[in-house]
Order: sequence, then C-alpha cells, then structure tokens
Amino acid sequence: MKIERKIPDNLLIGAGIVLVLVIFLTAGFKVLGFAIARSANGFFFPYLKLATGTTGEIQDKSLLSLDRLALAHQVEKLTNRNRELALRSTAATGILDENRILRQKLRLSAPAGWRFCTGEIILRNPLRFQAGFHIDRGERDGIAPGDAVVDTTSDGRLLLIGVVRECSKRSSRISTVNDPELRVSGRVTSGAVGFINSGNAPAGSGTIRFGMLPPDGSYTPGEAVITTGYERRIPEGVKIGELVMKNDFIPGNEPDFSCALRPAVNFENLRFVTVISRNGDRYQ
Amino acid sequence: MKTFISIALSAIFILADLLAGNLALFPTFTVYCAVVLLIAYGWKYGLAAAIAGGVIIDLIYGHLLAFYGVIFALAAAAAGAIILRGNRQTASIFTGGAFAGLTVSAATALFCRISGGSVPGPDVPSYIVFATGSGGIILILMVILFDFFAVRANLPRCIKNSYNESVSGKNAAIRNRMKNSSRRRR
Repeated sequence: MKIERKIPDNLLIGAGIVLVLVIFLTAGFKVLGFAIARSANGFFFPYLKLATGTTGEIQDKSLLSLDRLALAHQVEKLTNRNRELALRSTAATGILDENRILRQKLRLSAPAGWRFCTGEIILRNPLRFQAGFHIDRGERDGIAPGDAVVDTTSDGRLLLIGVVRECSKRSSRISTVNDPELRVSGRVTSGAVGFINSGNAPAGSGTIRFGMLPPDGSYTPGEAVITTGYERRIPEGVKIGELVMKNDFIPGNEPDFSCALRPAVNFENLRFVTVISRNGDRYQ
Repeated sequence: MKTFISIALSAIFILADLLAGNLALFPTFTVYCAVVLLIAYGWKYGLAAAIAGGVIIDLIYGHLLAFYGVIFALAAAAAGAIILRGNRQTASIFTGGAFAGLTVSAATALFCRISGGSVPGPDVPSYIVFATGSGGIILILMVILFDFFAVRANLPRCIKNSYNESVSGKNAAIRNRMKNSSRRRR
C-alpha cells in the first residue's frame, strides 16, 4: 500500500518540477533571447560587415568573367550614367552660383551647413529603454544640446531618432521621439504641420501621439511624417514616422486634430547613431 | 579590509548592472552582492552596499527619486533575513536570492508601468519568473565564489562561518547538558 501511495506522489512532484522548469526555461529564453540577440548583434557586426564587403568585392570582380560584348554593354551603360550625372552636377552648380549671386544682391549671409558625427550607444536605462540613451560623443566632438540624432537606412535615407538633451565632454544624453517630454514639429505629405507627443490621440504600443494638426487637413494612415526644419538644429526632411490611425474628430468640437504616429526607427536594435550638428551657426 | 572589499565588489557589480541594462536586463547583481556582504560581514556592510549601489545607479540613469536605493535596501534586507533565519543553508540562500530577484524585478516593472514606460523586449511575467529563478542560482554561485576567494585570503566567509558557529554552538550545548547532568548526579 505504501508503494502505491508513493508512486502518485513522486509523479506529482516530478510533474510539478517539470512544469516549473518549463515555465522558468520559457521565461529565460524570452528574457535572455532578447539580451543575447542584442549582444550577438554587436559581436557579429564586424564579421557581417566583412561578409558584405567580400560580397561587394566579388560582385565587382564578376565583371572580369563577362565576355567582350557583355563587357562593352556594361561600359556603355556606365558611360551613359556618368554623362547623366555630369549634366545634373552642372545644373546643380549653376543653381548654386545663381543662389550665391541672389544672396549677395539681397545681402543675405551664407546658410549654415550640417556636420555629421557617428557615435555608439554606451548606456541604456532598462526603465526608459525606448525613451533615451547615452552615446560616446560629447562637447569635444562638437555636439551641443538640441542637435538631431538620426539613423540611416540602407538606401541612405535619414530617420529621426531623437534630440541631444544634455552634453558632457565625452558623452551625451539623447531623448528619443518616444520620450513624452520631447516636442518636435513634423509635416505630413499634404503639408500640414503638427507636433509629436502632443494632442489627445490614444498612443498604443509602438506608437506616439502626433497632434496640433489643422482640423481641415486630409490625413490618411500610412502617410509619412518628416521634420519641418523649424527647429534650428534639426534639418528639414528627416523622416519621423508614419501615421497609423486617425482620431475620432468631430468638426467644431476640437480646435486641432491629432493622430497616432509609428516612429520609423526600431529603437530596440539601435547600436550606432549619427548626430547632425549645425556647422557655423549664425544664430549663436 | 572589509570596507575595501565591500567597495570594490560593489563597484564591479554596479558596472555589471549597467552593462546588463544595455541588454535590457533589470539591475539585480548589486543586490546579490549586497546580500553576500550582508551574510559574510554583517548587516551594516550589506545594507550600506545596497543603498550606495542603488543610489549610484539612480544617479547614473538620472532618476529623480532614489528608486533603486530603496528597493535594493529592502530586497537585500529581506533576503538577508531569510538566509540568516535559515541558518545559511543552501535552500535558504536559494530562497533569499529568488526573493531578492522577485522584489527587484516586480518593483521595476511596477515603476515602469506607473511612470508610463514600457518594459523592453519580452513581457513582464517572463522578466519576473526569470529574475526569481535565476536569482537563487546566481546568489548560490556568488556565495561559492566569494567563499572560494575568502578562504585563500583568510577573510570571513559566508557559509563556513555559520558552520563553525553552529558546530561550536552545538558543542557548547552538549557541554552544558553534560555539566547539568553531572551536577544532578552530584
């Protein structure tokens, strides 16, 4: 009888242990999986870069394997492309000269340029993981509070990450667009201007509020929102995100219109960022 | 020497917590370090390490309140009480570590929810379950490592001290009993 009692007890204990282990391992996989993915990203970065570089070189060398006719075709294609680019460059130079002459006549000073500085994220607070971080570039690298922080896509487009909030000599604190305290103006494709983290639209997971838009404008989900250039340290045309939903607007009841906006940057996978500083700021 | 070791260990584990924060993991190593110091050197060292470590992390992260300073002190005190009550047995160390991990992760997740932030990566229950389970294991490993180096440096240890105390306590009790019985015989 004793043995019969022990067997179900042991089974129960064993099942309990297995259950606890399964729960623990599942939770561990979820938590550590994310952490390992982030560190592995950094670990494999040089090797991935090496692999990409090698692929590029192989592609370049692949021209050598082509026969004479195909090679001539490629050369002709490239020559045409070069000619087209040269024409564009000439036109741009003409416009630049014209701009300079007009500025001289109107007695306007030369516009400030932009300087780019790449930094690596060195510190992230798990409590505010998506709202901010610290980078390894500071005043010594010419960075000042208010400078725009951007990410670049593979095709060279700029995506707004946030703004430099504080600067020390060697590091800077960045507030991302997910920080509820950050206000940056944005323009939708139709031309209407609003501000991020303002308005009363409900912001869900992965979205932020985008409000103070004119109520008579037309807004469609998926519409791109770019920076306006009104902030003197943020260049114009940097993509902030896309509109994802519309607020239930009743004409006459609300003074402005607000939407939810999905930021263009994936903040969880960030490792390197670019800080855009104003070069030769005449306002200072 | 105790003060120097406490400061050095706390500094190392604060750095470990800051690096873990970059990987979106909640800071718990400083608490485990404080618990180890608490059971090896006493309440004064353990609580001082927990409060100082928490406050330093708060300052580095730029928190307006000393959130981690308070949470670390509470977690270390509770874990220390569990371990000392359990006579520093392995099971009690595991329970203490698990409790510390549970306290810190649950409080962090709660604070995150109140402050309007979002926990990065996985969901909150996964964090709490993982911190609870791993807390016990990490604390046991830390105690073993601490004792390993303490034996070589001839410094107070976490487990061996208690063993000596308990053995000497048992010997004293046996001696008392023997004395009492001999008195009765007389």
